[in-house]
Amino acid sequence: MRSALRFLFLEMNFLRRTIIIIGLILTVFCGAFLSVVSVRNDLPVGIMNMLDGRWLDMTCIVEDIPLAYAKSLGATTVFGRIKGVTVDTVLRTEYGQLDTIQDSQGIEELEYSYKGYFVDYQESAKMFAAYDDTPRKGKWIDGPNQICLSQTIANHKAFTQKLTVGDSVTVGDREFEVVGIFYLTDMLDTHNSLLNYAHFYLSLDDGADVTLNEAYLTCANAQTLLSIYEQTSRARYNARSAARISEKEINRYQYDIIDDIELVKAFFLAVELLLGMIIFFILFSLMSIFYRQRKVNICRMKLLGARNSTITFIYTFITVLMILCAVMVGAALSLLFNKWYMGLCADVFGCDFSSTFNVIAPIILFFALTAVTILIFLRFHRKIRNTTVAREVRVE
Amino acid sequence: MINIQNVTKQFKTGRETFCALNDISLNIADAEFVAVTGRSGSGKSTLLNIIGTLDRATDGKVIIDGCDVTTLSPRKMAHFRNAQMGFIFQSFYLEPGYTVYDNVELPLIIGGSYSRAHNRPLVEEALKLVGLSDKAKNKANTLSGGEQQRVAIARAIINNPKYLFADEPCGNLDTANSRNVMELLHKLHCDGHTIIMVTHDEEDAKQADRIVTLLDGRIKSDEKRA
Repeated sequence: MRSALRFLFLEMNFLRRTIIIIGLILTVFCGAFLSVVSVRNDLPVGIMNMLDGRWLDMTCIVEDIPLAYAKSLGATTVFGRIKGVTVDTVLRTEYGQLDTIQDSQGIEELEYSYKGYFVDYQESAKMFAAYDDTPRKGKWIDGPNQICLSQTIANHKAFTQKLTVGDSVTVGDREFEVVGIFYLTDMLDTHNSLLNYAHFYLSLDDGADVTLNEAYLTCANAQTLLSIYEQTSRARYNARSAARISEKEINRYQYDIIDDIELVKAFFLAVELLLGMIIFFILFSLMSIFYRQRKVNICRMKLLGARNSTITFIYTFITVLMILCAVMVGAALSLLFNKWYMGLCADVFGCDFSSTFNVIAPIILFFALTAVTILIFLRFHRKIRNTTVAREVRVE
Repeated sequence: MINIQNVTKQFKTGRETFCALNDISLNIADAEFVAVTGRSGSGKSTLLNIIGTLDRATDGKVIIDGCDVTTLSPRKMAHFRNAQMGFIFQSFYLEPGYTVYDNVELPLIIGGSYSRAHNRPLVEEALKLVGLSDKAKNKANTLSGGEQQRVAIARAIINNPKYLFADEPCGNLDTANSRNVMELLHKLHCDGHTIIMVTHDEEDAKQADRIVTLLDGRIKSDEKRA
């Protein structure tokens, strides 16, 4: 065995250039393959939080909350109030296109279109300087049966009693825990006659001054809460609008973003594979020379008394080592590529994406390539066994 | 001692069968220097390859030191070839990417001797014998033809084999280098090695103790030189 290893060391030294070239090609293919199958790109942080069960649906009932901020939280139905105007809106979470504003007092219809889900929120958020535009994980919402309510809902609209944090309240047929209540503490006039939203600085009833950024508003069961509004004469909403966007549709819209991201990644992959194929076919044209050279090498070894098993071991070991290095480097390249790419997507979409690396994929790739190699070399072993030195010597 | 009994070698080319050797019988004693000559296609190299276990005869036996090598398994044949035989070819058959030292050491490694401490004195002695001690670290493909052939000779004798097989050892060499190589072979013969050499050159053949001439796969003549 040790003599085989010494022989192996010599042969690797001799085949150094060949190993490097083939190793590079393998690495390109491994990197391209793993960048697609092993790195899972996740939805924007805000949306993921909404889809992981903390948000059971996308409807958020709030009052006196800036429209754009509610949109940033992923709200699809916002029941709010503009000063003097009751606003019923349905937001498409895909690109934040505001459908219509139905104005009960004859104010003309306004449409807002946002180029990107979060990017233009940044633009619109300039009007709402009180808020930054990064939805973050709520400190107080950590379960599906928890709600944060604005003051008015808590105390006037939905419930007859004044609620405090920690109370249990039954909404419809479900019990919720009140984990936060926002109180109006200040107001800032935007001087915008049409969109006369107020900027609110709100606080929780524990006395801490916070902005709405620091908590998610969540509704455990939108239909239940919507029914609460129905029960109240002050609520007005468009049931058709609410029904128009189902959770399934919303999920689809969310994943459309990821589809677009994966599409671009697939383009990069295609370019990478195309380059790899070009290099491969260039080398393929030299395969006859490699094949002949390999036969001569085998004959030389056999001439000196090397066993068939030793020759097969040497070639198999070199190939498996190459595959291992290629898979490891390919995995590292795929991670680097995805990191850069996600950074690019974050700039485009204006939100953070996250990536998770699946280590199973490179392991499976390594074992698959090794299995194919071993199968090839089992056949190769037969050729080694049948290679007659004398015949090759004569031809040489 | 090599005992060749009724060896026949046939090659099939398509539908036709070509008979390279036809019922050859030959005995070669220990420490004998035999030159095998003949025209192109007479079967010289085929005979050498069969004796050297590089090819198998279609019919007949080759008995070396009482062992019928035609019945050996490939594994045992490889071991036998490594331990008891050395080969010198016209095209040298060195590993071009290896150094001279590595090329000469290769049979030792293949034979299971991997220790550098054990191998180094043997390699240095072999290189000293062929006059290439100062070229040990050079790559084989950087040497001249004559030097490469001497490296091949050093590699062939590193395991101190009993039998040396040389197939046109001077075929690619000029006169001066040919003379050097033949002097080396003569010296090895004097050291007790049995040498079987295939050659076209009559002058080279005259260096041998015995000249066997083949014609169309048969022995035409077998002369012992004084």
